[in-house]
Amino acid sequence: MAAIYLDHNATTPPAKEVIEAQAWAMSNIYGNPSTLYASGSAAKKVLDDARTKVARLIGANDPFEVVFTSGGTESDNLAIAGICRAKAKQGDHLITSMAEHKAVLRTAALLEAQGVQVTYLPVDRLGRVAPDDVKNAITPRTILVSLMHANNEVGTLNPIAEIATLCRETGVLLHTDAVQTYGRIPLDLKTLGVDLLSLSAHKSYGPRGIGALWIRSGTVLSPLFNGGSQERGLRPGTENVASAHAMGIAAELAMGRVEDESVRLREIRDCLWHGISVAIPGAKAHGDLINGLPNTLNVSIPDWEAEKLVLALDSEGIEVGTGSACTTGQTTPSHVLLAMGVPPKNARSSLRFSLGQDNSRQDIEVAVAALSRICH
Amino acid sequence: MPLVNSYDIVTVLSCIADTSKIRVIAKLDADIGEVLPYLNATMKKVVFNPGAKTLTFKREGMCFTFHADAITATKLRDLAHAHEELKAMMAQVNDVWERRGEIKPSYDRGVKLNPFQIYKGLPATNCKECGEPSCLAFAAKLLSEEASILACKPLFTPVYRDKRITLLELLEEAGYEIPPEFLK
Repeated sequence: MAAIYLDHNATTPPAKEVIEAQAWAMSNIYGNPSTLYASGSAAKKVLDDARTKVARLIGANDPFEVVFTSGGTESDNLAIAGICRAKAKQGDHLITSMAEHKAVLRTAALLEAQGVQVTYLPVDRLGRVAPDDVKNAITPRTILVSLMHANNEVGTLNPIAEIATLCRETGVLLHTDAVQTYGRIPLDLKTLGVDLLSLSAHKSYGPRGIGALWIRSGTVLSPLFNGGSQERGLRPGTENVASAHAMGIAAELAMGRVEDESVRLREIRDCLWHGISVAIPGAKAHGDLINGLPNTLNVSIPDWEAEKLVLALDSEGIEVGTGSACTTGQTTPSHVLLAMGVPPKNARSSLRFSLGQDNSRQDIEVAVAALSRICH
Repeated sequence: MPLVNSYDIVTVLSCIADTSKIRVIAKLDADIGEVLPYLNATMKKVVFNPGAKTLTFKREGMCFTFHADAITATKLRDLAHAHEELKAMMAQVNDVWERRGEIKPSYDRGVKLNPFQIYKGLPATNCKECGEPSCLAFAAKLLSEEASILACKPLFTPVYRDKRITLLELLEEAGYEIPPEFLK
C-alpha cells in the first residue's frame, strides 16, 4: 500500500508533466543560453519562457524581474545579504521576526556578527507580526524588513500588504519569503506591494534545486557569488535550463489549479482537525485556521513526543512532519511555536500535517483513525 | 549481551574553530536514551539534558555528546582518532548499561543555574511584555522551562544583542533547549 503523504510543506512530489518537461529539456536543450549559436539561442528561449510563466503566476509586470536561483534558501540569502551589502552606506539595520525560516534567521545572525543591527520582532499567538511593531522598530538606519508571507510550520499569513504600505512610506525595502504560498494560494505582487519575493519550485510540484527571487525593477543588490553576468549578474553560473523549464511547467499547472485546490484543501484540512479534536480530547491546534494556509494543520498531542508519533504513524504508512523539515531529528521545540507563546512541553508534542493535491478525504479518515489508535 | 554492537560514522566535517581538526557524527545500532541517566551518575563535569536526551562533556580539548541514537565528537585529529574514541565510548556505554542495577540514575543537569544568573542576562527593565510581573520572575520561569527565552521581546532588539548572545550561551551550556536558529 502506498504511503499517505501529509508533509507537503516539506516538499511535494513533482507532477508527471514536470518530470516529463525536465527529461525533455535535459535531452533536447543542451546549449548554453549565453552563447550565440542555435542550440544556445534555443536554451535562452526555453529559459525566458520559463521566466515568463513564473512571472505570470505571481503577477509580475516584467519577467526579467525574476532571477532564477537554486531555491528558497538561496533566494532568502540573496535578498537579505544582497540588500544589506548593497545599502551598507545608507544604513545598517535589518528587521525580521522570531518566527522566520532558518534561511532568514541564520542569514540575519551572520550579518549581525558582521556588524548589522538586527531586530527580531515578536509574533502573536497565531504567529503573526503586528504592523505597529514593524512601524515602531523602523529607524533612520533601517534598510530592509524581511518577513515571511506564510509560516512553514503553522501556515499563518503575515499582513504583508499592510506592512508594505508602511515600509513604502518610510522608504524601507520589504522582502517576503513566499516559498509556502507560491502555487498554493493566489499570489499577486500588485496587492502585496513588496520589493523582493523568494520562491521555490519544489513546494509546488516542481523540481528540487531551483527557485527564484523576484526583484522589483530598480532595486539594487549585491550578488552572493562572483562570476559571469547570468541572471543580470545577480546569480552568476551557467543557468539550470532544464529545471527552470520544469519550474515553468509547474507554474503553468498551478495557474489552472490554485483557486479551486485551495478551497478543496481547506475543506479536508478542517475535516482532519475535526477528526483529531474528537478522537484526542486535549489536542490543540496552533496557527490561524481561518485565514492561514488552507493545507496546514499544526497540532499538539498531549503527553506525546512528536518524534515518537511521527515514527508510529510512519509504521502505519502515514508521513507527517514535526515542525519544519529542517529541524527533523532534533528534539528542540520549534522556535515558531515558542515565539507564539506555546509552552515548551506542548511545542515538543506538535505534529505538522500539510496536505496536497493527491490527498483525499479518505486519506484523512485513515490518518485520524491511525493517530487515534496510536494515542489510545 | 552488549547494548551497542556497532556504530556508523555518517558525517565527517572539519571543525569550524580549527580546520586542521575534524568533527564526526556516528549513528549507533541501539537506542541509548535510557543509559544516559546512568552515565550521568558515573561521570564528572557533564551537562545532562533529560528533555533532549543529550549528555555532553569535554576532555583534552575535545567535546563529546551522547544522543539517544548517536554520538557526536569534535576537535578530533583524524578518522583513526575518531574510531579510537568512539570504540572507547561504546565500551563505556555497554559497561554502564551492564552495571545499571548497582548505579542510581541521576537526572541532575550538571551545570546548575540560579534565577539571579539568568536575571543578569535579561534587560532588567521589568517591562512585563513576557507576561511575568518582573524579569526575576521570568528568569525563574525560564529555569523551570515553563517559559521560552523568545518571550523576552526586548532581548531580541539590537540594544540587548550582547546580553542576548551571552544568555543564550549560558543557557545552552547548562543544557537548556535553545532554538538553534538563534545560536551563534
